[in-house]
Amino acid sequence: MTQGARLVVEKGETMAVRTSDDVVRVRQAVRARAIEARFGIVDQTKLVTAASEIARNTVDYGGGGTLCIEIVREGARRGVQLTFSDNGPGIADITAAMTDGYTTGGGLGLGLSGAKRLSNEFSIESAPGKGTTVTLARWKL
Amino acid sequence: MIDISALEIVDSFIGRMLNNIAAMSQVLDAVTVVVGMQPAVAITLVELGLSLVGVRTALNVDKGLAMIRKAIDDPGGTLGRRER
Repeated sequence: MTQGARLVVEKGETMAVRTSDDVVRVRQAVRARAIEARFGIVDQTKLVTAASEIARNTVDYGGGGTLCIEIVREGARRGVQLTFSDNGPGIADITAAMTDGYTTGGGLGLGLSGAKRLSNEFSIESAPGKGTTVTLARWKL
Repeated sequence: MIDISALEIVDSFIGRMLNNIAAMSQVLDAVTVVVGMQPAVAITLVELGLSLVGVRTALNVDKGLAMIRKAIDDPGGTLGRRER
């Protein structure tokens, strides 16, 4: 990605993100993969928290979707990449949605912006009626 | 007093619950103390940008109880006063 080296997926799995129980399962699965990628406790916690934020969004705003968890390698570095997809209403104004404190659902408005701060790489693709895909990655530093 | 030492993460959803509990407690003129937050959780909360409004924190249950006792003994002190 950033260094132009080829991104290799070592291991991947897909899971459903539909209910609050699934959010808990997402946290457990992401934690397990982070440990597998030899993340330290702080990196684990940051990645799991970011995953929890986006998973909650997928359930609450996206009407449920899927998560693909991958352990990736790029050159010498290893990390965990998460891709959340839903077929919900989509986000009309991504810039506003990424702003601290902006919410349409009565939350704190920290989910997207906070998850971005907790990740090394973060991208969001969305359009009204087309659903939302959030991809984030954290590298073992 | 809320002991969160068993929590491995605190996301904005849980943070909102803690804020709501603190806000309700304030209506009852009570002090909310969150104890036992793990270091990695604290670091993550800062980066997430979440602030716990009206919530005091202490290292563990003992220190939290001492904080509450102090607030009861000295209601005019800084501990007993509500945060704005």
